Amino acid sequence: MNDGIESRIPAGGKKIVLAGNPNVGKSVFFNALTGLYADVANYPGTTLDIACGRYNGDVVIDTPGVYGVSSYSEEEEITRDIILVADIVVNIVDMVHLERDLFLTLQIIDMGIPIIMALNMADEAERGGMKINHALLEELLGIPVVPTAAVHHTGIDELKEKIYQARPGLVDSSLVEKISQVSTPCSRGEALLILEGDPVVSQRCGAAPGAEPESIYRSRRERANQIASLVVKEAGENQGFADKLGRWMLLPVTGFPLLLLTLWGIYELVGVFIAQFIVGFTEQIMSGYYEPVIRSLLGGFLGPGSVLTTILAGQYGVLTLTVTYLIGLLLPLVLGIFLVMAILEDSGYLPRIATLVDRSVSALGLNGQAIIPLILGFGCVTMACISTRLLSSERERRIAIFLLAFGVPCSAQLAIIMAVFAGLGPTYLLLYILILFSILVTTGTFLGRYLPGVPAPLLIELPPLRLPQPKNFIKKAWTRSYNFIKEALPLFAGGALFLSILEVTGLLQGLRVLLTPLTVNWLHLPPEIADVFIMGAIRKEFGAATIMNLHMLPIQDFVVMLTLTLTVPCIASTMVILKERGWREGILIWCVIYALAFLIGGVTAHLLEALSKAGVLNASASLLFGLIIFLTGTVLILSMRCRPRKAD
Amino acid sequence: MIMIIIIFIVVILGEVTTVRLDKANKGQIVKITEIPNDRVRVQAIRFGLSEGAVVTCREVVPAGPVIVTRNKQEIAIGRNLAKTISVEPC
Ligand SMILES: Nc1nc2c(ncn2[C@@H]2O[C@H](COP(=O)(O)OP(=O)(O)O)[C@@H](O)[C@H]2O)c(=O)[nH]1
Ligand SMILES: [Mg+2]
Repeated sequence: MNDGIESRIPAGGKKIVLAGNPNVGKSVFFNALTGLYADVANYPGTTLDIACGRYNGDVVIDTPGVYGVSSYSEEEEITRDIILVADIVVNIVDMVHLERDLFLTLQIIDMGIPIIMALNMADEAERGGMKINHALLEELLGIPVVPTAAVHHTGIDELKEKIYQARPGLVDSSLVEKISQVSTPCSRGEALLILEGDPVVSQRCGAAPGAEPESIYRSRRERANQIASLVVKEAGENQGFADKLGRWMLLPVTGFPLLLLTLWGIYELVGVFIAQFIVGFTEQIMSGYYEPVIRSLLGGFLGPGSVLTTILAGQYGVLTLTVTYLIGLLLPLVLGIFLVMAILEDSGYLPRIATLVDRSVSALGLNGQAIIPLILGFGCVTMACISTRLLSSERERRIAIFLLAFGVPCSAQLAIIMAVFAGLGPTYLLLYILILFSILVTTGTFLGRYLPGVPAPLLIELPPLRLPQPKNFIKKAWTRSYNFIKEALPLFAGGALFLSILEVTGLLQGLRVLLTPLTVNWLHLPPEIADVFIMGAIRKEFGAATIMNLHMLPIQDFVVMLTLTLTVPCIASTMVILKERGWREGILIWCVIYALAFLIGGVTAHLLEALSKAGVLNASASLLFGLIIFLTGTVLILSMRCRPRKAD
Repeated sequence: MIMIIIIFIVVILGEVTTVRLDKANKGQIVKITEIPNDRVRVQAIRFGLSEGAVVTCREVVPAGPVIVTRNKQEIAIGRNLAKTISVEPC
């Protein structure tokens, strides 16, 4: 893994690594140092993006925020490996939380890596009536310290001037000898991590992990507290509006309305403004101008109707469908979602949401942090599956990924759902929401109860609420979207090629026939619907047009939408699931979800038909139906929760 | 025999008088005396919440997490985790 990251970092110059706790301003510094253009290196074996840029011919690397480095989480491992290969570490520290941040600082100093400290958030500290004797701090740590307020651009020039004066600081004297006793051939930093019991580094270097990691941690914590108490002059009380708002976000009475308001705002922005207005506009451009031009060009060269023209520019053409969907549909959506995510991240609201819903989400066998992937899932299930890394245990990741793939419709699915339900009326929509919700809760409760292990405890820090800086979140969103589209491009092109080939070779017809028992006999749908499911396995949007063109009965439309929602959203999410959970578990999850989706779809079809035959399928009847399912779910959950848990 | 009884009583008393974090009231200042979960303990040391740390219980979300503060730092601790953390009122 270690050689992996080295090869991903652009060569040439020194490696300047920005490291610090979460939410201290690393990304603001990164932007200030590197300007607008940044590469994003994909860390080998993971999907976490590491931003790399250039400063003075040297490489600047932004790392995920951590409180210390070892192997406790993926972020930590990545940050650890990058710090281990650093030439200079710029340690960004939140002045207001100096004591907390000093743990990481001291750990990097103990690793013997040249380091310079940016004492950031000086403006916030000043507002809170807090002063820090930074000359004394410099002396105690043995490294240069520069006070900064990155968002106001104060101190950045001084930091730039001093960056090459970074030097190894004063190492904890009790550690020096122990480090020299680590006899395996490894770097100074690795030696420290071995002493601290890091299993991954120990294995990499072929040494036995140290036996007393906790005492090292404890004495470092004490040292950090002591240094902080010496250099912090006054710690004023900070009771501004942000503080009050932060409190309101946590209490159910005010927190849930605020959360609903936020979700509504997000929906209006992404779901209405972008998904309908902007996408309507961009799609029109693509299908009105781009596609005809490509078709006539290719038709002129290859002859209209030729096999190659169909493959390249037909209904599923590689050049038409891929580009239209990527640029016309996906790009605006993804950009909108990433923008919202970046704003939520920068503002410090996400951990408060996690705290607020901790109780409610624990019904699903998850802790409050899982709400973040679940909410993201409504944007993009693929992305949300990736973000399950945020969760602290295997068990939670497993549950969250299953729920995401099964019961959470992504924005692409939601877009079709909105379009189809617009023609079906609000009763069906309500029914759909009720059924989906019951399925989600029932599945979660079931998994939470029967998977081995206990729910991981919630332990998160609540960062101060801040007004997000447009420059910061726009760049974040843009970089992420660009990457997403770049990665989706081959998948889309491949999918389109696959479909075109199926079409021109007549295999699509064969698959349809093969699927008739399922589609026609069990789900009571027209045979052409097989296309929707086949394509749906690749990308849910692929099937949207087909559904509209089939002119089915409302019940059939409904059954298709429900079944489609329950299946795994797309080939990309399938890949991510396989990658995250391993082949065996991934395939198992995939198969179980497809089986359940068709089972539930069929049962719903039969029930709805029975109801409509009896002549009662009007608004109230379907409501009743939904209510019954809803109640069944609730009863099931209650009965499961009342039984004592063995695992406790 | 008497020794055993005395030890027994001491243990029982200790168990009965041990206060857990989830029982703390809003605004109360407590000292953390024990965090049994290894992983949580290590993460807590990095946060600055080592055993022996004095924290203020800022908020108790009804049936939900307990929020403690220390030096302007706010940390949310899930209800079930808070039930395992022993504290001493100060
Ligand atoms: N008031 C103030 N806010 C800052 C400062 N530096 C960063 N921020 C804000 O703190 C938040 C987190 O910054 P970010 O760079 O994303 O932190 P990261 O998680 O360390 O990369 C953002 O809302 C920034 O605008 C500063 O010096 N003063
Ligand atoms: Mg950042």
